[in-house]
Amino acid sequence: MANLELLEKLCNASGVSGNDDEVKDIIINEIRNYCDRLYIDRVGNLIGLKKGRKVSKNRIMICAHTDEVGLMITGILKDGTLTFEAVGGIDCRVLSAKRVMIGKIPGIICSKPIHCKTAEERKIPVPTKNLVIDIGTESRKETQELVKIGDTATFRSEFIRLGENKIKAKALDDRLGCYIMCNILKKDLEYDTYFAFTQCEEVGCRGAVSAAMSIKPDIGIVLETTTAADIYGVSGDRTVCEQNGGAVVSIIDGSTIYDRTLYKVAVECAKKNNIKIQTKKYVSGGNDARSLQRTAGGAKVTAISLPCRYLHTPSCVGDMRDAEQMEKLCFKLIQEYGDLDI
Amino acid sequence: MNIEKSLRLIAGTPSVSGYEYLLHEGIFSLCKGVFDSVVSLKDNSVLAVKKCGRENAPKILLNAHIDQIGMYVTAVHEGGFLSVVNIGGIDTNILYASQVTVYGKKTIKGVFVSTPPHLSGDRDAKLEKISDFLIDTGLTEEELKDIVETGTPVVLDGALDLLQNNMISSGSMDDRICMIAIIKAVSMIPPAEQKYDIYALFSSQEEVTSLGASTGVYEIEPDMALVVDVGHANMKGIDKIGSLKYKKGPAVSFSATTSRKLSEAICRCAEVNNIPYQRVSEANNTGTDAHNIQIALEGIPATVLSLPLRNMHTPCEIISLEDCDNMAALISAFVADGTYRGEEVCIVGKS
Amino acid sequence: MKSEKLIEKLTSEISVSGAEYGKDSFIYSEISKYTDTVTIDPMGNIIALKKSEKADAKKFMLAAHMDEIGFLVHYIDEKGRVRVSGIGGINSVSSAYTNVVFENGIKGVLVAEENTKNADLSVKKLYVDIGTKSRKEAEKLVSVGMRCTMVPNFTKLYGGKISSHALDDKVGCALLIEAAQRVENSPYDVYYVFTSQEEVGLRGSATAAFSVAPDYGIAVDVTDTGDVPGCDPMEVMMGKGAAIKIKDSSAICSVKMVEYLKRIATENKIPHQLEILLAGGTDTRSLLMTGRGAVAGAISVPTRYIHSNVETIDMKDYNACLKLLVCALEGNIDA
Repeated sequence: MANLELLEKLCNASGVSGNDDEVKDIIINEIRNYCDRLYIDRVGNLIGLKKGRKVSKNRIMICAHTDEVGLMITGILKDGTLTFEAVGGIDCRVLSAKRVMIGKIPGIICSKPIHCKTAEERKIPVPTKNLVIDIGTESRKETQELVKIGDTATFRSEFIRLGENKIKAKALDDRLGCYIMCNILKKDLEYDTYFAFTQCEEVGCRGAVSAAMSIKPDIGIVLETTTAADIYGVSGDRTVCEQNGGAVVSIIDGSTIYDRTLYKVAVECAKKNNIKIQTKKYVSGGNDARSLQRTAGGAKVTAISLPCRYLHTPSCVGDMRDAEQMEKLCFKLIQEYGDLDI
Repeated sequence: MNIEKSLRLIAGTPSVSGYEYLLHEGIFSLCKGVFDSVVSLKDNSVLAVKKCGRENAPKILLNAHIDQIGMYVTAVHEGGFLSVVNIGGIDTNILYASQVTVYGKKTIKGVFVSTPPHLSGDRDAKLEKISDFLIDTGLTEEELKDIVETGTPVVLDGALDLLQNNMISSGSMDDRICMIAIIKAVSMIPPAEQKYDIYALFSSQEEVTSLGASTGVYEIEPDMALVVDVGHANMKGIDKIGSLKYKKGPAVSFSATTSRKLSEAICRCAEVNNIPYQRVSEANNTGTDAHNIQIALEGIPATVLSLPLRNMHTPCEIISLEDCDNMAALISAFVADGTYRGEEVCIVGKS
Repeated sequence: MKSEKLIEKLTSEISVSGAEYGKDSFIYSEISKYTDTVTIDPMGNIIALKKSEKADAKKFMLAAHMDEIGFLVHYIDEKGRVRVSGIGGINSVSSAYTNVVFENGIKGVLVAEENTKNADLSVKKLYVDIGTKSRKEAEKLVSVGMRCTMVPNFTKLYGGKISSHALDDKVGCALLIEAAQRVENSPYDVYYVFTSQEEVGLRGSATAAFSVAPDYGIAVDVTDTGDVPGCDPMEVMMGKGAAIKIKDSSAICSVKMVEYLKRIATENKIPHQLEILLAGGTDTRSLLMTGRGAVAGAISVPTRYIHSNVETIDMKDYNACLKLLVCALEGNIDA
């Protein structure tokens, strides 16, 4: 497997939407020497330009988002515990008894012991508003010294290998996209390309709007993760896509109908270069492509995604064989899309 | 003896009920130099003995259980998924997207499937039963079948975290922390002060049947028994009344099923020695090994000392190190005190 | 006697919990032929001992329960209808509209009150029609406290499968009798114990285990299978061999016993499978937990439709269980 150290660092970094400097710092460190221009825009997108051998008449922008779903502290109770809200879409069932990190302070999401739950309570999930984080303090005053309302918290989840090819981590959505962009940036490219590490995708694909406005791309490639529900007992279109089935090239999702020309070119390019790809079998989800496609004068867009199990939980599972296919396809498409006459 | 260090020493070793023997080596090394003898029993319990050398000294049973809640594999499915059954009480609300370790022929990692939104219907309405859950291992079915079989133990992963105020969070603190408190207590008693023959029984299967304590009592035939277990610490959502407070010392049980005389003797001892303690009333079943111990043989005066703990039966159980130290201090003071001698059959009529 | 005949014979004698076979029963006379002493304890357990040739042999106790689920007469109404309570875990759907027989041989039909929906079907809604039209008439035939159970319905099915009511645990009893017949030179003092009142909470085996105080124990009983529509995930299949129990809802078997049975089965090429029974307990618990406790486990016959009147097993599995049991008693667990 490729340079997993970087991916591990990226996944373990804390970067809840609106508070992701730690992630950006890792990326800046990694790519600083490979960019011809590198800047952080006014809303916090990290944007790099890498010159290629040629300038294409199609301005190409690749993007992946740096933020992740997480928690935001909303209050401090008398006993020192913290109330919180989810930032982005988190199923309340994945929260009970999980370990979190509020900046540098470790905490635990409390879970009422099964012994104290009634038979009825054992059948329904505890809603987010009834959960609290315990950091070991005993009074509001004590907690106030350490945590402020508005602080963000991320899951603490070990980055581990599952079997030969898979990895499990938090925030694969979308540190995996950031990781692939870093890898591509380090290569020699055919055409000038913009790389945007965008903000706040999880709360409405917001950063990509400003990034698109300033770059004004003709063609956008979004590197993302998408739901793979290829678990035992699920079949047909309900699986959405399958792990080790290759990079997912989208035709349509919940918020974007992708450009047909770009799609065809991507399929042919994959065929020519022996790259494994698949399409989504189920219309769901959405990503930064919707912002790129419909900002300023608009752009043609493609999304290349990793089939990822258990998105938006502390335990996302991805297959690195698919990630390799994504990287290869994206790299080749810079040339193919640059050559296009549109 | 440093409690945090001792916990860390055994933190990575599983002991799901039925598989306690995996932890024995760790227990032996913790007991080293503290007891006269330490042996494994056939039910996977560990018995550690330290005699006081006095004639006719009463035997005191100090009991903590060494099994932890967990799961056994029940089936292997296509795609490298596992079905499991719970061993001990597990709230399925804590399983979604949790990391696990599977202790098969090889030790492998896995995660509980968290059903994606488009498949799970009304997510706020219902928790699945444990038999509906799957563990994703990232392996193929064939690879998996070489590693696991029906009955292979599975544990929820929980790292040991030091929180604020010397609070510690970890999995399976129930009841390893109390075992450590007992060992520490015994190590603290000056040999000349010891008034009882100490039989420390680190028992098996408390979480399912209380096997180890039930049979161990017959092995030991003690004159009195202190069961040291964890109790619910006060937290959001549970009744203030009846739950324990952190940093107020060990809780002494008053219950229809524990010995009032023994409990009072312990409280007295705490007061004489200035050790903080709290009283807790549990009208009926204490839900601990004491329940069986009290009515074993011809009856044994038994009570429970509880250590406050939050999030019981999750991988993030939280305890206070200060409470542990006080627990050890109280046990050790009680064994050194020796005023309580157990109960005699009391003849009240013609014999 | 051939195995099928033996099982048929056992299922044809009534032995509802609390009124099990006594001294004049088939089991008693049969097991007496192959053992040295046979006693009946206060709970009604039949305890047969076959001593080892070896001096200071350790004690190995086998337990199969001889009681079956059934019904107890608690009221006879003025129209001569007999109201019953269930003993053990009754499956009301399977019980309704069946032929039943009382201890004294009187027959009746167990039926449900008219207009009872399946979902509401419970023992309360059932009564036995014995053909009488008044209480007076009925009381001449049956009395309060009498037990009844299904009329014997032993049936051979295709390919060596058999079906009957009360295979739980008459197959276990049959296995103990056949094992006693076959075991040669066991290094253990073997106690063949036919336990009472298992179906109402493992009661007989507790006193038997206390007085025998065995070193090793094996319960022989039936287990569910994972090969019928709508069942929970379970690896045990009918026809795949003897089931070696890992756990059920009453106990976790000793690892030492599980490993021993696995080893014996592998060495003797006996088809076997590992069992986790999700719902239901067995005498294994008493063996493990009584007194100082024994190193104990269980051998189970994979059985479909347990606690219905058409419990079904494959004789291949029965034979595998028998061979495993015999080899286990002749082998050495400490080797």
